[in-house]
Amino acid sequence: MAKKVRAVVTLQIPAGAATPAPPVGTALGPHGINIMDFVKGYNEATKNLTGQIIPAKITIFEDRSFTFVTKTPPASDMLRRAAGIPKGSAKNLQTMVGSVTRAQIREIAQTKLPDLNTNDIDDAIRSIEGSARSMGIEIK
Amino acid sequence: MTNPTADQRWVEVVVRVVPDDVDAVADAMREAGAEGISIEPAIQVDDNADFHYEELDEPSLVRATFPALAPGAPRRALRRRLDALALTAPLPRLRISEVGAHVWSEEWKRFYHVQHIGPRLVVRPTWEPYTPEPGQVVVELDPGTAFGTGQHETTRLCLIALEAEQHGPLEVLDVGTGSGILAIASALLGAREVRAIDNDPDTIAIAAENAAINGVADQIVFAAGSLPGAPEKGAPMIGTPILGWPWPERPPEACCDVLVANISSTVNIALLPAFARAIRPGGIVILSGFIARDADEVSDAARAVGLDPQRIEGEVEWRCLIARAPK
Repeated sequence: MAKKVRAVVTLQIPAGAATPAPPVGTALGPHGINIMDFVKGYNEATKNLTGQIIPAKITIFEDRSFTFVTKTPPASDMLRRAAGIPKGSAKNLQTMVGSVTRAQIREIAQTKLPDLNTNDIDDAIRSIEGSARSMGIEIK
Repeated sequence: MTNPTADQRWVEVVVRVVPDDVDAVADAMREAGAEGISIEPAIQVDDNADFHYEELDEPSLVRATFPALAPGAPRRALRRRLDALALTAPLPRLRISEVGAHVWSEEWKRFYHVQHIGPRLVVRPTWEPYTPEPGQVVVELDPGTAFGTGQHETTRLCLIALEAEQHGPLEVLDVGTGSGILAIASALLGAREVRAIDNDPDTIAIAAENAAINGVADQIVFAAGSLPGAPEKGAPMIGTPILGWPWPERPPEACCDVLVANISSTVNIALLPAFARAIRPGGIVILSGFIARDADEVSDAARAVGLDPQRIEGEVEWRCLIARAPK
């Protein structure tokens, strides 16, 4: 069918726990798409990933039908889990709140690669290292 | 996130952020306690034949939802956290608002009502009551994840053409069925058998469910597939494999009296040789999914494969070609 895009919305929400409440409702409601269809589809697609933030990129077409794909978790979420800390440090660089190994950084970079603007693993590693530093996570 | 209750309140922080800074701002919002973030980039829909879109290098709308973010210190702390980020462009003022209880799951229904399409066809969302007049044909359909809700000009143009051109118990082929709306309407209008294909296997399940809701599951055969000649570029998602004709025991040659394809000019033009082989002598081919600019090209392509363009119907920028196969 002639699918002309009306809008694109990425939601960063906890896997398996979407509800029609904000931000899902406030982000998708004005576009007039069937929110429960999205909620059911997202929760089903992410049911085995609970505990992680799994972004969903939703493409909304002119006739208010939509499709979505799930993405890899934000780097910050993966780093936080790798470092075993509930929250990053508000005061980056001054207060180190945890640490990750170079191997963990590489693993995260590898996972994130499909969603990054590069195919170069070294670029991806540098980007993840930058995120870690800004979160107050030391790289050992 | 918890299920919303009547007295639940959220605080939403909305800010426009340049693309390079979106991840950092979203991370900072989450660190500050946001339960969820939505990011809406500025996009430009390409006016090329397949309507791809590009994300523009303009600020995205970032919306963060907090379970509570009291005025005063907590909000100043959020601002400080954002100010501490090394961003490529200064952040504009945050728009902070309280969001009250609302039945978000019903919000979309206000966009969708009974639609009168052509003299007989009516498309009705399942929650809106409608008593049909004698002779009216009612398609029940709710928008979901498959294209074809009756809200788009091209869907309406195809429905009107089906209503005008499909007389008697004919055999119909719907190429790119999406939600199944055209196949369902065709069955309700009296087709003996409708075969409906789509390159996206997920939509086939939805279309079959919609047919069951409309009581025409017995008249329609749905399958994931395509006709020979489908270009890879026209696949529903770039990179999805091109499927073949799904019914080897019933080849596509001279298989239908009416063929309807609401896809795009690119795919329609690529498939026209296959359409010409699929349609029986004297049959009708209904093509839409293209805009006025491309209508001549589609007409010429139809003529080139031996079809006889009868007329082009239009609504706003969209066009629909009705062509006849020689007898």
